[in-house]
Amino acid sequence: MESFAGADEILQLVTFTLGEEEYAVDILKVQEINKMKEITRVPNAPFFMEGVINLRGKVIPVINLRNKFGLMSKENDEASRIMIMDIQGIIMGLVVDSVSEVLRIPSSIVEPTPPLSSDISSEYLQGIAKLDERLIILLDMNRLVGKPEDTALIEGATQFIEA
Amino acid sequence: MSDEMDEIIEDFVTEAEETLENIDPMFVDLESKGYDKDILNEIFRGMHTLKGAAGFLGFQLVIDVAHRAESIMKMLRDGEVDLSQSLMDVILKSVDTLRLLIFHIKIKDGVEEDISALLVELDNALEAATGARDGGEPPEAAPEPEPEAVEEPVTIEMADEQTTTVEETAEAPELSEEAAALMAEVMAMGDKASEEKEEPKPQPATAPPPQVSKPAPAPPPKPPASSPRDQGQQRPADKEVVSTLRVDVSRIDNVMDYAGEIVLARNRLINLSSKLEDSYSGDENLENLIETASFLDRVTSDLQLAVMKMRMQPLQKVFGKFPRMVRDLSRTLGKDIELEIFGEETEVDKTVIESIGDPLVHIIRNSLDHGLESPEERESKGKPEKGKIVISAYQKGTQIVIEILDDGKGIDAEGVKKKSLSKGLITEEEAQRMTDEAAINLIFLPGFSTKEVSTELSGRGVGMDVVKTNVSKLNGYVEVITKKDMGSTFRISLPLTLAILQAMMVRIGDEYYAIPQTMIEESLKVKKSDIKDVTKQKVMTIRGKVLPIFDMAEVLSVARKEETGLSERYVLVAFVGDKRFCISVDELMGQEEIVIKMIDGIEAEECGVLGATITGDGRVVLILDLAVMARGMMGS
Repeated sequence: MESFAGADEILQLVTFTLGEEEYAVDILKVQEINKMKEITRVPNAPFFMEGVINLRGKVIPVINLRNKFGLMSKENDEASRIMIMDIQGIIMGLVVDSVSEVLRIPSSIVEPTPPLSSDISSEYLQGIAKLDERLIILLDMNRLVGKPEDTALIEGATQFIEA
Repeated sequence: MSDEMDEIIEDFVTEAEETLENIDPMFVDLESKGYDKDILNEIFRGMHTLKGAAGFLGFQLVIDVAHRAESIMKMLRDGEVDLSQSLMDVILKSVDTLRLLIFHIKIKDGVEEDISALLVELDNALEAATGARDGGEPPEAAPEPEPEAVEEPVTIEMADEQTTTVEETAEAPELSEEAAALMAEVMAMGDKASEEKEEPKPQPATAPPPQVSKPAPAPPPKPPASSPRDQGQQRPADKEVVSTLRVDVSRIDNVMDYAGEIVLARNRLINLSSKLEDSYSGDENLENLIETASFLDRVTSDLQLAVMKMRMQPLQKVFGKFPRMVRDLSRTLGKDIELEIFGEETEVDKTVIESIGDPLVHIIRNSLDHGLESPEERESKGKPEKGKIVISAYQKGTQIVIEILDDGKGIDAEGVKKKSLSKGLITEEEAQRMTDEAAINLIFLPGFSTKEVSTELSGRGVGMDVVKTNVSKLNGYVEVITKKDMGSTFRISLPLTLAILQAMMVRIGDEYYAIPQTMIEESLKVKKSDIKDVTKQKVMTIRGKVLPIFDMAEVLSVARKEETGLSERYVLVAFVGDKRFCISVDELMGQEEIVIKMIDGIEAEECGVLGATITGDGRVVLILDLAVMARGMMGS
């Protein structure tokens, strides 16, 4: 792991992939990372809701991040993982293509999301970390649940302006 | 330190609330029985305890009210004054005020109600009562407040002393011990009072000081407190203190959750051992495993029952407020009504206690307002002038049934139809075809109200639909049985517990679902040819009634391979609220007792599920909410 002298604040992140892109979330939000297990479909649920799973006796919802971000969907495979996260007090699973590593980076290398991003998922973005040749997209998990899409968009926009 | 104080205050509030709750029905009882020494004594004691505890904590307003009410009660008990309507009203008013004061203490909003008007009223009532009786009495009321004034500084001092010796003893028992001692004292007093009429007067006047001085020596060693008391009297009180425990609900809920987990683990274990039995039968270790599993099975069932029982409370908690309510309402309406309550000791889950109050209040109000006739009308019909409302509760299998019966005029089906028509709730055509039974169920529709003029009590068009919603939230249902001029009965059936559900497990395509048994009337196997098509809606005739039938695979959009050559279908007849319909599934897997798990993070209602459960093999199975689905399938 690289070390950065004189860094103001160290961010600890868990990185994962969706397609070609590499994403990262705050490690404190991640409770555990599980292999794929049987997911029970929930009828009439939003399209990005993969279903519910049994997590040691608790029934928790699982979101497919590809669908949520409007990416092409893909069959789950050996590398697929369910990341169990605590998002605003609600325990949820997120299906991702694969989980890569735990990363420590100084907050100074995180840049705000470029405004030209037309990607649907931009509303959930916190910034982009540049690390050698890698571009890692930092996600703000709190925006993922609980808010209707439009208000989240507006808030995302205002926060960007403030930043 | 403030934490300790908070705890004491909390205990005080709980105790005070309980006392007031108990007092309320007693008054109504008293009113019907006239003079009853036991009841009067009971109320007096309650007031006295309340005053004592409030004095100890320095809640002056509570003391002021309780003290005056107590004085009146004492005179009533000793037969010095007769129980009059006005006296009753003023005491009931003070009970209400006390409740309000306690509420302010509870939520710590620091609001001080203006009670001066009530105090004057109480004083006047007391004076009027005593004046009418005997001129020599008034001084009795006057000297008593004085020891009260002395009492206050002493109690504050005592509170300080107590908080400094916090570690030694918990304050709560001390408080109740004091209360117990007080009670014993009052009881002894009551006994003496019966011997001689003049005696009790000086006695209560001297009673308050010992009440103050006693707790003071009490904290350091215990014996002095009990030695002046009769040993035999003190002991049972001590025992009572330890035999009940106030526990935070969240702790019990935690235990409940864990018990649920164990149930699931047990199910898995049993499942596994029966699988092993198939392949390794005869193995000694396996025999032991199976034996252990079945032992665990029994213990788990017992555990589950025990935990469930911890959450059970008698319905009395809800029923207790009805006598007073009926009394007040019948007075306002100018009706003469007798209320009978049966089975208030029936125990139900805490959640039921919390949410059944409102529906019951609505039904009772409705019966009082719309059901029961005025005395004149009753007389002209040849019925007894006094109307009757009977509330009864009993357990029937795994259900709790609560019935509210009145002997009023009953519900007029034609009237209900007319009203629904004018409100646009049904069409002319529907009204024509509707059976009386169906018409009566219209009263549960939102926006329905039969009375021309809204009254203060009911008739704002809200009420009966609230009843229905609240009851179905508890997985229960409401029925109405009514007969013209004979009266109506509202019957609420509720499951005994909300955590465990009897459910029918079904397979639809490759998916499994659970359907609560309470929503299913019957299950049958039918030929495909029995299902007919009527203008795009599939229907079926069951016992002479044509019911719509829905294919669950379609409703739940289950991806399903074409079931080839199936000539038979499994059909469940669902009965939800007033709607009866059929659903078809691919296979019935049998009935099972399931543990309901809530799912955080999904809109369960929108998806038509009540929650989920985990099966023996660890799979998640969703529990379908047919009530919600019916709305989606048939419109509301």
